[in-house]
Amino acid sequence: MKHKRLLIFSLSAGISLFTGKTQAQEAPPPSYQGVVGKTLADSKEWWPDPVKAPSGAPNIIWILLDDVGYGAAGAFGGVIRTPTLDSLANNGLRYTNFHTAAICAPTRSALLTGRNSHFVHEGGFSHIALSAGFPGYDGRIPSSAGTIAEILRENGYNTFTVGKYGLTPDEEATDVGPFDHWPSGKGFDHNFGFLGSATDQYKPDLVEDNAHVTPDGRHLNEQITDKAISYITRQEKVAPGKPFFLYYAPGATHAPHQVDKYWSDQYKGRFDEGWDAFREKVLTNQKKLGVVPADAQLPPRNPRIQAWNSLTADQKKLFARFMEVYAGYLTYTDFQIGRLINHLKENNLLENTLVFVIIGDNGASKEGTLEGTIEPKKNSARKKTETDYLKTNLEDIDSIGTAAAATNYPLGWAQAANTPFREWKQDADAEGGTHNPLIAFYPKGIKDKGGIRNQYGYVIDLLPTTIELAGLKTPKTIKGIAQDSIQGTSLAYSFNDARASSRHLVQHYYIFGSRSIYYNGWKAEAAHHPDNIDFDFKPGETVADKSFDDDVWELYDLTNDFNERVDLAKKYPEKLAELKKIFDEQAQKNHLYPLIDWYDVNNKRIHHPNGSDTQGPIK
Amino acid sequence: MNKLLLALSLSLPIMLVGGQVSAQAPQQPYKGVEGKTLADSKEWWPEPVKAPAGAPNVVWILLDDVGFGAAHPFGGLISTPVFDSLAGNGLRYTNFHTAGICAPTRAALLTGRNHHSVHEGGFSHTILSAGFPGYDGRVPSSKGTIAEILRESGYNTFAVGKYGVTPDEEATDAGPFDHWPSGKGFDHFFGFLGSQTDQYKPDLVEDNAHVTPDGRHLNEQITDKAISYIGRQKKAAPDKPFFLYYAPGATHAPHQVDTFWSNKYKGQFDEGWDVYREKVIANQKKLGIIPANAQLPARNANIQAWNTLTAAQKRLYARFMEVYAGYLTYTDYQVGRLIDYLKQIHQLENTIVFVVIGDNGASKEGTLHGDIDRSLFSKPLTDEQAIQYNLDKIGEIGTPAGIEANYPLGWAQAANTPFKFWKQDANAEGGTRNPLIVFYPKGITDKGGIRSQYGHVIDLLPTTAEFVGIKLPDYIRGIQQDSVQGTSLVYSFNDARAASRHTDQYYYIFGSRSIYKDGWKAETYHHPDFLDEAGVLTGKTAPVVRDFDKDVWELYNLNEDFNERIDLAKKYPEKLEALKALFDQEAKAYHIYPFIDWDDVLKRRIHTSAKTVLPGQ
Repeated sequence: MKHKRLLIFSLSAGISLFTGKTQAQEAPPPSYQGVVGKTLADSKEWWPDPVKAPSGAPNIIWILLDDVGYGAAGAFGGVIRTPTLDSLANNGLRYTNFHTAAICAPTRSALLTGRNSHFVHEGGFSHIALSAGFPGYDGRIPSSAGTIAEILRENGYNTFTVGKYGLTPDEEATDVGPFDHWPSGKGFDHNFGFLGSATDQYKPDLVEDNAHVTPDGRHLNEQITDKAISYITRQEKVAPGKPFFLYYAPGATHAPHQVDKYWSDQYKGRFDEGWDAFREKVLTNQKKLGVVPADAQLPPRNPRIQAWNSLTADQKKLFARFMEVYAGYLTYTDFQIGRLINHLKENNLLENTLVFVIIGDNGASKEGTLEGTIEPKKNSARKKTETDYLKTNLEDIDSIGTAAAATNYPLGWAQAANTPFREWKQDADAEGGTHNPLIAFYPKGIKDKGGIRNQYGYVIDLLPTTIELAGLKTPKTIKGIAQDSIQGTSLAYSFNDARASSRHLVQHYYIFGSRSIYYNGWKAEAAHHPDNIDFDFKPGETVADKSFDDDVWELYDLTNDFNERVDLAKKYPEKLAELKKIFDEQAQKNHLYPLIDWYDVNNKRIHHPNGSDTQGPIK
Repeated sequence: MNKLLLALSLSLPIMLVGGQVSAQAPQQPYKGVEGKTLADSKEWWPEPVKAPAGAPNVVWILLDDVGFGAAHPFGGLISTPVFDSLAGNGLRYTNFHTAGICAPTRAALLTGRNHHSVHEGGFSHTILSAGFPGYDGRVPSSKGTIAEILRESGYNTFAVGKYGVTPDEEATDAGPFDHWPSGKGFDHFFGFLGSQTDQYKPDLVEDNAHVTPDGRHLNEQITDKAISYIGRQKKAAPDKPFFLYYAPGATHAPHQVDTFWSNKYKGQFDEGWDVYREKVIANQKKLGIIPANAQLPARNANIQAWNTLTAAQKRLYARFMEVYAGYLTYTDYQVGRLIDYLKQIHQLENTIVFVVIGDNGASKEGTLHGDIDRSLFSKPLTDEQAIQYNLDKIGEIGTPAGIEANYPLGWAQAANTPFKFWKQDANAEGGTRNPLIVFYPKGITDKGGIRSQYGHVIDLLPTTAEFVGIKLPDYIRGIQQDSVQGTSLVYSFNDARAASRHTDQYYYIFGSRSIYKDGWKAETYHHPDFLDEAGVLTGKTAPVVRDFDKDVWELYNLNEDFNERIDLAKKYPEKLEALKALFDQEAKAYHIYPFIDWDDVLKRRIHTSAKTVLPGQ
């Protein structure tokens, strides 16, 4: 006995001697609890508990659509049919006061990490032209900001992503990697989709796991849905009962709008009344559904946009076709989501699946210019007179939405699709940029089926919401890396309490100059010029730099004026000053500084490799 | 005495640590300036990870279950023209060692650390692992692999073929994937996770999922895949170096190969295994890879003299060897396709290739009469039954139907010429000594040179790191790294006479064990071994008494007796005791305790929490 004790002692001495400097920081290293003797007879085995999700833990699906305004989908009062989303919302909850970061990559990084976009280095994009060598802008999400996929994997989930990823630095997006910022490096067991921000739907820049693959010519929405189903099927086959996480992020409905005529032709003639009538109809629908206040009014038509009834017949014909295609694209996307949901249902998986659908990673896109784009390379609004531009587009009207074209709809439709809000994608100052529908569907966990929720929410809230609802834990370290705090606020408190007061009280927004700060129902905001419209829509004009100090701040009481119609800046200057101070605090804390704007971007003043005067890849 | 032991144990870590560990911080601190606007700020970007300019590509080739005396460049009678060419233009290391069995060798090779210290004293299979630090079969992330290190240094990293160090429990498509190649630093993997597989219907995996094999021989598929990985990489980044770990299932059982290859050897082994040994030792002397006065160890007592066999036995056994030889030659051919490809794309000049011919000695798992399709763990047949069974199926040897094809013990002994014992026998050089070829056109001046410095698989990682000019990282992805235990062999590349720097090494595989120090070696066979347990020798040998304390230790002076023929245990008992004490020290330092042997394995005394049965039972 004494001998044995001595032996064990000397063994542990040996261990500490030999591995003296190596206290590996790997996530909670369960200390060895066995007994090591000289032979098996005087020893005792010990195995750490395998990582396993709690029994009954739900499958989790996050669906994130791209560039869809608040007033587009039928599920939130839009006139575009989305029967799958309708059904999920009618059997789940509609969150009417949910927000995104106002543009793709910032929204996606914030969503996946549960932390603000600048805080996770994604204040801009991971593209060379849109990132800068500052902590808030370098486009490289650090491993101290673990993603939902990493967290769920640590909790015993399999993790899949299909569709748009959008957070891999350009310099690292080739087949040689490195792969740390690919989905595989951010917690996903499998990935099928594209790494960039936009792609052709028939010839996508397609990636599977750690390599580019050749697309098969079918529409990307169909391919990603097939792949998602196959990942789930394979997983259920080898490990039935092991929960999965699926991040389903179609390229739809970002430009290029591409969809089979089968879908777009279903909308033939349906938008002939034009974008003004569309807004009226949608607002009425929204009131009926209860997703806007009963006394809501439309903000005035944006001055850049012509009244529909002042357009020529040719313009009407052309513009209406853009919207037919867009609508078909969204309905088709809904159909593909339906295939996924049906698959889960047919395999008895749906009951225990928590589904979140965020309809749009930002508001409707203004990137289609005033007249819409078909083939921007051949026919650019910036290089032609309006008459010539329209003429060419009319000739190409049948190309809209086809594989050959790079379609995006005109600004008038973007405004309509953003009903009842003003401004657009990129505009972090306004709700038109940041206010998006959220659907929560969880048969097992939601009693108030079809309920409406008005609690303030932001994309960083989905991670903690998911963790809380699934009964999981957020690890302090992930594969040895200490984790920064999650910044989002779980929305679970509101699932079965429609009247609970909002718990997410402060939120900043900043996208390349435009900015705002929300605090407990109040919002201070500043548009910043030149914005991309200033650059895009003034062919031949010189665009001048403007100081951030000259930006005009507005103030809104969202509790009584949810769509920012009545500026109270002059009425409550102290309130405005208070909010601006909070913005500055948040900016410091989350690395919003230096403020980088579209002028810096469009003049290639950023992403200069160390010691270089010009923009270029970091090599 | 206690004080002495303590001093010894203190000196161990120092002795075993290479001298080239860097002090890399886990992250580069931010050096820019964050003002309020761009005008009053300064951008800063961390230096991207990049290999040193001109860093060579690295290819590690590890064959499976090939004895020292099989392949032609080391005197064997099996034609391997590609290895001949690599050895002829590179170096032959004649004193290189493996751990004595698959997974331990592979884990040690990939991590540059001893197999027990990386938890792979046994295997990652449920039935061959135990809940002890040396045996749980889960290589920890504090022992980063060569792939992780090279990836951190700007390489792309590929593995094809056998991996063999993924726990059974984690080897389904649901993962977790931390112990798959993707979790151990490989950008891409194509092959199988287990220890052996059918060559035509392999249990095939690509990256993080199983895939359907296409029916072609696995050797051909993995070679195609390796070529496609390299081609794709060079297309995307022509100057970025790659690391390829090419580990065919060949020539582990099942021996499967097209008759095109096996029929080339028709009749060539009719003279039998005794003559084979004589011819090979003569070749080896001619080549200068063994001493000129070398003698064969006595034929193993369990093996019959060839000339006492019946004609039917001779016909049967010779066919096994024809197939084996064809299999090895075919494997060499596939390696040749890879090498030719590198030449075609002008990469061969700047590629350092290591070929370890065998992850252990020749396999004894074919038992006395060879195996065609019966599981290792199935009920033993009598000699007569076994011979007849195999004769009835002689046409299936080497074909897809021969799902367990393995040659008889007599050929394994021959393939291990000039050593005694086999795979699994960590006591003897027949288990642990394997040829190493180092090929690097640009950097090796002594083309065709022979090197006799002592080496072990843990040396390849530091050799590679030193050669390509990278420092071993203190951290990998935030995980602090334990010291690498191997010793770089670079000192000997251009100095044939340099004294060995790897001066001591332990061996332990399921009971059999040994300790090497400065040319001396103490070793002990342990019973019951696998053959005892499988019932192969029942009635042929004395009944086995199982007692680690009663294992008989032998002592050899390898400097004068490289193939362990003259036991000096009685002559130098103090030497033996000192070596045994050293073994005990290392056993403690590396987690060799508790001793687990084949009896523990096959009687299912380990991993008792898992409800598994032995295959075939």
